[in-house]
Amino acid sequence: MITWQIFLYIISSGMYFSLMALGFGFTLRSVKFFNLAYGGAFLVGGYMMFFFYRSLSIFFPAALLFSIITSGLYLFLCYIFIFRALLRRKAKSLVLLIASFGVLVATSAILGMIFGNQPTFVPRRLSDVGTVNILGATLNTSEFFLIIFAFIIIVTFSYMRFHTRFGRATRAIEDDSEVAELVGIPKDKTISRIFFISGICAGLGGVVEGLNSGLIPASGLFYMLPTIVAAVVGGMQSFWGGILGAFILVIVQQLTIFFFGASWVQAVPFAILIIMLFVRPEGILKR
Amino acid sequence: MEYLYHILILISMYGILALAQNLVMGTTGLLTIAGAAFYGIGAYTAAILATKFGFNIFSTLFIAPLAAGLIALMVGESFARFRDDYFMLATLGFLMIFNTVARNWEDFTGGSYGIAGIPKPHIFGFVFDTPLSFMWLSLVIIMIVTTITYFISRSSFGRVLNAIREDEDALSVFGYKTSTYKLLVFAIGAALSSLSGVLFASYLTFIDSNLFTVNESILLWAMVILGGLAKNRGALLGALLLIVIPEGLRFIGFPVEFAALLRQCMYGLLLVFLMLYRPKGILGTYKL
Repeated sequence: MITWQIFLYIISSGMYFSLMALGFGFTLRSVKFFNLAYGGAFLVGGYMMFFFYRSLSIFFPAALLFSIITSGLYLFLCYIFIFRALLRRKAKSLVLLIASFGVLVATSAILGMIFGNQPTFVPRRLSDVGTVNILGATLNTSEFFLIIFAFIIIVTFSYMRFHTRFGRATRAIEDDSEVAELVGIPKDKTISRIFFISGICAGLGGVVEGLNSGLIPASGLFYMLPTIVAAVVGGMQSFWGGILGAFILVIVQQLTIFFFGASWVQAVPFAILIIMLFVRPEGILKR
Repeated sequence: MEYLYHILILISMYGILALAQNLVMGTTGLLTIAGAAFYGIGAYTAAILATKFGFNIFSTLFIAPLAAGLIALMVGESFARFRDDYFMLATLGFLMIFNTVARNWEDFTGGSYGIAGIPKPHIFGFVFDTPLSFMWLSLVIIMIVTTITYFISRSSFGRVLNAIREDEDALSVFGYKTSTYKLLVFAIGAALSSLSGVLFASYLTFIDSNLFTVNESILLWAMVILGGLAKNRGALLGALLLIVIPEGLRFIGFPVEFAALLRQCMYGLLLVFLMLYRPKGILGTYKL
């Protein structure tokens, strides 16, 4: 039964990183820089959930909705006030990277000032952390719902990407944003929507993390490295790459825990990244 | 007066770090975030050698750069092939690994309990245990580091580094093996940063794994970019400003933890505003 439990765990945390990598990949492909402010949206989502659900005691689904919308708005506003000006100036990706790093650092410091530096847990009481029994293996309720939610989100996004106007506009901008603009695609509007959607994914990740193991202000950066690795390893240019990368990451992490012990898990993403950049820098899947 | 010495010691420690960071980030244009890692490696080398093996801190001022330089050569071997964003990612990963090792390898690094009782340096019976004497020691070391970075940026080696920043592909067409140069400058930067780590460990007499995190690297970024990239004077100016101004916050009387977060928030916003309105920094000529 232990293997079934591990399998379920791999599915749930694979789905978690898929969701994170999916949202990250959206901005990565369209604006072509590592948007570290994504980690800020992750934190905003988690802490807003804490605020709405635990401090204001709002009904759970409503609190969830409010908090992911807030984190979406957060990235949207980051785009409007910071990244748009830099992108218009055709700044190098390094400039955007530094700016987004600044946003992440400032966000985590501000959240730390408001909510404190200690771990913050979203659940109100112990009974909030229920478990679900699936054929003998147990999962947290939040992990169980995460699997379902992430699946729905992935299906929705893939439909949106390949069958709607917005999806076509997104793909055109990813391909060549200048030509896309020339043929009349509203670049600014599309990119700001992409940032909003990306923020929603990050916020959902933050909520799940807050429910499962609690948030600290530093965890924004902490979760960025595995997310970036999942997005890069699977193939940055491909929609499905992030999901593939996420599962590879999680499986290697589990193997590391099995062979070396849990304290070395943090080194795994880095090792995968280095190997991958040597062997196949463009990622496993092409577009 | 003691407080003034303290500030000067801090400025020279961060000045060394900023000069080293500028060498890699400004002169060569490699966006590294591993500054805090080599700073930490220097501090741990000094602390472990001094407390466990009874070394004089003075001798660790020579051993730590060697150790940090060697580690930088080993990891840099793979980093030197990357550029721009990927270089930054790789160094971020390295910093994360360094933090993991420092936290988990408790027999050696003391983990989050840290290493206490690090002695002051002594030479020929003279102990640098007063703030004034320690200040002179730090000033001498920052002078040495300034001289080294000055000569590097004036030499032909420095010109190659500048050329790597401007156009790496063009330079490799002329037959320069750019990855070797990048590796070398990365190792030199690491060795110089570790000097500051030795001073820091000995000055504070206590280090733990929470002192060398990514926040320190962010501070270095902010210093180097604020002062002006690729200018040694700029790095020193950045270190001066970003030590003195936050010290003012101390007098307002915030709680320690809040003040630390407030500073961190300042550095983050500073980076954003610099990128938006003045990517050159105060003295810089090179625009990112």
